[in-house]
Amino acid sequence: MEVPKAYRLAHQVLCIKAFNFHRKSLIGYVELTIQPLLTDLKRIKLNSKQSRIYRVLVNDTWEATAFWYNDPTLEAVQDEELVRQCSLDVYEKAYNKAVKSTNADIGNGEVTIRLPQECFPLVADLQPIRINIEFSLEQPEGGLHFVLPPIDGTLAERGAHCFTYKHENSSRLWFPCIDSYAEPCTWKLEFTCDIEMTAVSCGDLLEVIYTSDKRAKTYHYYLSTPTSAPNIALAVGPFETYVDPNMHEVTHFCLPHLKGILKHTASYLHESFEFFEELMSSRYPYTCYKQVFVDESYEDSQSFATMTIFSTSLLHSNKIIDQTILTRKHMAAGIAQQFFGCFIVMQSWMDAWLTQGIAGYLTNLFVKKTFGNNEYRHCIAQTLKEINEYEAQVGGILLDPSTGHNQYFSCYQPQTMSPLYLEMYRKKSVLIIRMLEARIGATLLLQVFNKLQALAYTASQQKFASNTWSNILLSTNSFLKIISTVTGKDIHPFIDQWIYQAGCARFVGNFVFNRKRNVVELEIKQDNTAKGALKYVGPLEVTIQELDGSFNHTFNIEENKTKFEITCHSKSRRNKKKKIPLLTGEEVDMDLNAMDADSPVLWLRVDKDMNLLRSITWEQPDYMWQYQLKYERDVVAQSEAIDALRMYANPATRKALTDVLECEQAFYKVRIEASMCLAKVANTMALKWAGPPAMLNIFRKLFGSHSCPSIIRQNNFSKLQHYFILKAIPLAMAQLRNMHNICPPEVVRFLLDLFKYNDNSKNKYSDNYYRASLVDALASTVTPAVTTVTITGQSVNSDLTADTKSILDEITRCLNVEKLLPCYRLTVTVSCIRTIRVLQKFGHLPSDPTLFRSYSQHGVFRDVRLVAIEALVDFIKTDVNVTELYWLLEVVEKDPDKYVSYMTIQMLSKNPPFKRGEDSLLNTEALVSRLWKLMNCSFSHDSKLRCGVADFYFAMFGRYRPACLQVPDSFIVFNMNEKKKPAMINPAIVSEQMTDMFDDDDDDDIITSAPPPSSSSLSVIPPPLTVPSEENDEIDVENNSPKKDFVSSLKRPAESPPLGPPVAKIPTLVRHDSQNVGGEDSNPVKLKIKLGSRPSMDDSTCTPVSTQPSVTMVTNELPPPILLPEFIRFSRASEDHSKPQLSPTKSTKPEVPGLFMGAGGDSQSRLSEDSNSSPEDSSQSRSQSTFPTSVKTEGLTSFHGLFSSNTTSGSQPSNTETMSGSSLGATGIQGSNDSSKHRLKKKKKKNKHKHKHKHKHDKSDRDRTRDSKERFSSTGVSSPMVPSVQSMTSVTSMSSLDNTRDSAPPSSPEFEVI
Amino acid sequence: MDAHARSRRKALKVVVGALCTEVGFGMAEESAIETLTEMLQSLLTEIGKSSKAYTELCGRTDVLVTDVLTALIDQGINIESIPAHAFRHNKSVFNPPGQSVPQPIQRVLSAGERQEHHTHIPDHLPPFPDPHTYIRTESHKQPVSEYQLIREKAASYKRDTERAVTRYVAKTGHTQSLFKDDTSSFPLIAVQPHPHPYLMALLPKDQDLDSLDISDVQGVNHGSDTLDPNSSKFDQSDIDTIDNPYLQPIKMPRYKKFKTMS
Repeated sequence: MEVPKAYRLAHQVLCIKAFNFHRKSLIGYVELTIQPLLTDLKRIKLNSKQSRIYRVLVNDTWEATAFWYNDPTLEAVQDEELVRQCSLDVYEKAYNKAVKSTNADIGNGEVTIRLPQECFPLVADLQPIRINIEFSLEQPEGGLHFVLPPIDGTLAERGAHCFTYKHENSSRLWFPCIDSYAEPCTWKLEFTCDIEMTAVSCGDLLEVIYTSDKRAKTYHYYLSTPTSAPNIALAVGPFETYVDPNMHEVTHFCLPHLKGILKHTASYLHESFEFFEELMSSRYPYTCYKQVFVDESYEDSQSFATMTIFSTSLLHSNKIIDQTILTRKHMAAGIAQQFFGCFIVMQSWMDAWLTQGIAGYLTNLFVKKTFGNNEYRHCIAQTLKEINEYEAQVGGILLDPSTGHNQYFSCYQPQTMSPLYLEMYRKKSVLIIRMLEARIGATLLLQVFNKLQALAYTASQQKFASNTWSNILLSTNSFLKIISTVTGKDIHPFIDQWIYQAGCARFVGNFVFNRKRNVVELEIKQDNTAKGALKYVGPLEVTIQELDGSFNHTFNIEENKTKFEITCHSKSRRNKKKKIPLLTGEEVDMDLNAMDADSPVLWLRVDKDMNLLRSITWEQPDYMWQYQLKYERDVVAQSEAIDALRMYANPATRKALTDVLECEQAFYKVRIEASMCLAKVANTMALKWAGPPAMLNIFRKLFGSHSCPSIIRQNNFSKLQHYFILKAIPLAMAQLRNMHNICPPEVVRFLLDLFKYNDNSKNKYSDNYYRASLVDALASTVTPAVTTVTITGQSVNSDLTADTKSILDEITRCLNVEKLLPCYRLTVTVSCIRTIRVLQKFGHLPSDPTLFRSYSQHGVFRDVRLVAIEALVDFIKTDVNVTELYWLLEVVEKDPDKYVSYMTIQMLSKNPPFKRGEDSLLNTEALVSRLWKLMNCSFSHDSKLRCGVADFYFAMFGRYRPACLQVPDSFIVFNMNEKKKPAMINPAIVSEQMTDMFDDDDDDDIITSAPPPSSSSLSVIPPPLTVPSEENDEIDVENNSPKKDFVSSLKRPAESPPLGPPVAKIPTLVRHDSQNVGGEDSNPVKLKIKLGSRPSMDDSTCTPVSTQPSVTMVTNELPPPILLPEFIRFSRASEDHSKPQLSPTKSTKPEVPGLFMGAGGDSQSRLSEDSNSSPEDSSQSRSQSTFPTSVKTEGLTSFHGLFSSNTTSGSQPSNTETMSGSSLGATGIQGSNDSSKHRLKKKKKKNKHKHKHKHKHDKSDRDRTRDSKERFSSTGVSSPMVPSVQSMTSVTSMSSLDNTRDSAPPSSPEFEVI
Repeated sequence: MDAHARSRRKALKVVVGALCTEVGFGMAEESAIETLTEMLQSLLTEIGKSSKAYTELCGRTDVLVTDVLTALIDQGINIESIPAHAFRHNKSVFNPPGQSVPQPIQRVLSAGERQEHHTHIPDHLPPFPDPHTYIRTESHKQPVSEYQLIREKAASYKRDTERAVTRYVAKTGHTQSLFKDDTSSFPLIAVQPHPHPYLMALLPKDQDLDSLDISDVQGVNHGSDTLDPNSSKFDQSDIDTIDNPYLQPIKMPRYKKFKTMS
């Protein structure tokens, strides 16, 4: 829906007044300068999650009293009906709608602010208005990460730090903003932090100023380049600062003690800057650049405007080889993303392929320059292969999904997409840009980039008023336009083919040489049936190597055309011994005896430059592959040949592979591949193999000492190619198997000798990666034990073979030494743990997860944790272990290191304990409900994890209702059949009219029951006895539910079907109370609140579009109108429903026991009203309505009455709060106090529906803190934060504000509303 | 009196007895016989001594008949009567006593093979003594200079140290085991969570021990010597000239701001 933009953002201030590391909270305000574009602008929508918003002021004077918060993504599926289905399909639809309803790209947001009337004149004049929002953030679960090492000392000594992270546009997680790439503005950023800390953020650091008490300092940043909110970041910590000696504008930050290696790591950064600037001949767009290395980073690197946040484990000393390559790529990518992704941003998610692709493409060019063309081509080929495989498995990746998509998740918004898919998406877009380079030429493409940069730069220098900032947004259309202006070329067909279509071309081909005609007859088909296949039409390059030279032919692939011909140049055979010219112009001697004497064709390649996204299955005889391997100079061709030769185990292949392995001129990665392939070939030839194991002699020749080849030389890694081959050959040899299919003993001995004689004392590089690869090699020698080991976990020591024993010995030693003398990134430990798992898996060791558990705990180095978790995942799969699976889910849910959480869920989805349709002990309702809870609500603040869980869910249960769930009872079916049902609609986007119709629907439900549109597969014949059963159930409900509640709460999850929101364990006390209150008299009251709020919607209907969220708010909160037939379910649902709301109490309670108790009376009754009893009530109401006599209107009116009474009684306590709140306003910041109070009171009387807003806001608050308590309890919650804030800030205004709040409820808008 | 002397004396006694029988005695007292024997022994001894003295007087070592004759004469014995005495009729003849085989001496300590006589040494000369008595060997071994052995040794030395240390640590601290019921074999030092796990992993210690070599250390020093002055110079002198906001001193709060706060 295209709505003309009503306003634009010109400037934003973000000021964090204080951080509290212990409480993991911060407090501050934002101020958005908004330029109205329409004179009748009344509402502003902002994005904000998690934050608690205290007050909204417009132009410093007028308080926007009417603002409300609605975040439907907190719980994606809210309708009990749908929740019961536990179907991923339903979830994804609901979640997508929820995300869409807050998507800033289309003008939505979680917070809706109604502008106060006072500023209407300004808006009418189209004058800019400033909206100031005070907010705080406590215990954020996403967006901002606090690292707080658990030791004594000051924060700085402990190395405590915090930093923000993003998953696409997700800055809303830590400050209110318009969280869209398409809303760039200038920024003023202020951060007040401890004196020992450094706050690093985007833009230029203007100055650092002490606070008045000199115990803190304030960093003032200004970002004059228009930047969109998702690109704003912050890192605060006791960082060591290092100014780049080559470029003084560049500053590096790392955690204490790491400055030494930081200096080394940063020493080559300037090269990348120079490279990119020269390449595009455009200047770096910003005035400064910062690199921050933090612990527990969300990803290895994340780029923001003028700064990149890296994982601290990218740092390395000058002794490390492998990491250097990776780190340099990461750092170069960080800079490339400054140009595209931070400076030039995507217009909308549909254009993401451009910025991501261009940045990746530029990074690849850097790789090409730094590490060589071979590395570059090899890397491209690898990526291509990866994408092919992924697409073949999962389905095509669509770069611009605006035309539709074929995944089980929605591709329209990054928040709903599988993270793995996103990663592939990124890689694919890089390849697409590379294809574009081939299409229009590298120079021209760079000119295009230059033009883009130049335009954007000019635009960014303009003032906001000039309206040119949109030039820094890049969209597919603007890109096409620029390409046609710069190059005069039209790439529409290209875009249509590759951007709007998913998948890769999949060619299958072969050829024969026709001697009579002297032509090569090709047959090239496309496999269109494969998953992720794209029907390709267009040119295809085929390269033929003949005796007379190499020639390119371009064919036009058309539909249904599969036959092609190439006329050969040389009729003459090799009468004369002549050198054979290659494509590169070289002329080489070849031994042509192997080839067919009649044919001049040496080999044939299709699309050698990888100008298409394609996979090619190409058939040619083995000798051709051998020639190609030996003589073709292109590393990709060599790799392809090696791949193909796997299938041809014969002496000639062996010879060819050995030659390549020994050839010093060959690219090292090709040599490594050759060695791996040689192992495969040797294994197939095991019977005929004579002499020492394959590669042993080569290894001795290369690395053995001169006087005694059987002993390896002392390490000297100065020749890097040799280093990599040294690492690879043992690994390849370990894959050798003799005819009994076990690893030859001499190989094991050889490996153990390598361990023994390893001597690194004279080496200037660390050998940790080499040692790790030796351990890996040992692991791959392991074959399944002959005798199965005892299942009981008995010692199998006596059964251990000598080989296994020595392997174990070696691993034990390595692992133990590593504890005393850890090596870089603990690579050896990582390999050892992997090996132990292999030994367990093959039955040499008793299968036991305890070791892995201890290594996967928080506080162990991340790499080690991940490998231990990988072992656990494997263990779960093989041993079907429930506890470990749940423990891992615990890690996913609660681990402080989000990266580990994400990797865990990813490993689980890659290697799920069972696949769709498989029977497994783990395939239980409990697991379904656990996962459902995780993705439906637990991860509402981390969409990456959320989608990761959805992936896992998909891997195990598929798109529809998991099979392990009991057949739904009749009522469910009944309901599913209903098309009209509101249940099918996400409450978040239910229109007012719809909500008005709810009551009608309810009635309708009783009578009508239409078949379900979705998940029809589950259709069950509705039993005829609907009505009687209902009644029975109803009775049951009423009798049972209180009982149940008194039973320990733990029991409940088991009993209840996998419904709705996640259940944390709830303190029983609270429950009881709530239940009591709810059970007795507050029942009706609850009802009032919920349903009573509905009429208020009527009010909101009069205000247009923007009111929707408010309505949704209500519907969110309250269980959506319930259908008659499902009393049973409802009663259960009510329990479940209460859980999520109550559950947060658990988390907050320990912090504020006193307060909570104090507020107890009220809050609990409230609680009961809201959470617990309401569902029951509503169910009761329904039960009433079951009787034909009870009319809808009647119910409504009664609700109204209740509602009003409720408000009065409810407002009693709140009134006092209002007072204090307003007094706070007086003492506090602005002077809209008394009048506002009056106004509020009036309002209260006038429109009770305002109450609804209050509720909503409550909701928001509660949701944010995950505190489901009612208003008062929530004040209790807020107050614990107060002391901390006070202690942190000496700012008087702040403290006064806090004080008032301390004694009284927070100045949250709800009170002002009242 | 040793065994030989006693047997000789016994022989003399028999001789005296025989002579007495020849002369016509039928019986004799023990003491008389003993006295006669003593006299005969003294005579023979004296003859021997004198003979030797005469021999040496002549500067010889071998006793000749003439020496004996002279000694006999010196004793006042009529040598002319000796032949007649020797050929008398009633002389009594004894069977010569059997030779007793000398007991071979048991060598207490035999070390090595005794060397045979070289060809130029007559056999009658005494055999060579035990070789250890005259062959000298060095008490210490020559250092092994073979590459393989050195490597072997270095490797096993390193492994042994490592193993010993880790065993020790494993014994003294928490361990984990690969076998549930057998904690002694393959003990693994238990993993300890660390508040800063990254420090351990990013500042590895494994290379420090290896590079204890003096040459290496010097090399390192050289490197740092050349690098350090530059960098420190840079750090100190350039700090003022570098225009980087993070190097600027923290400013005092502005008065205005202060006022508003208070």
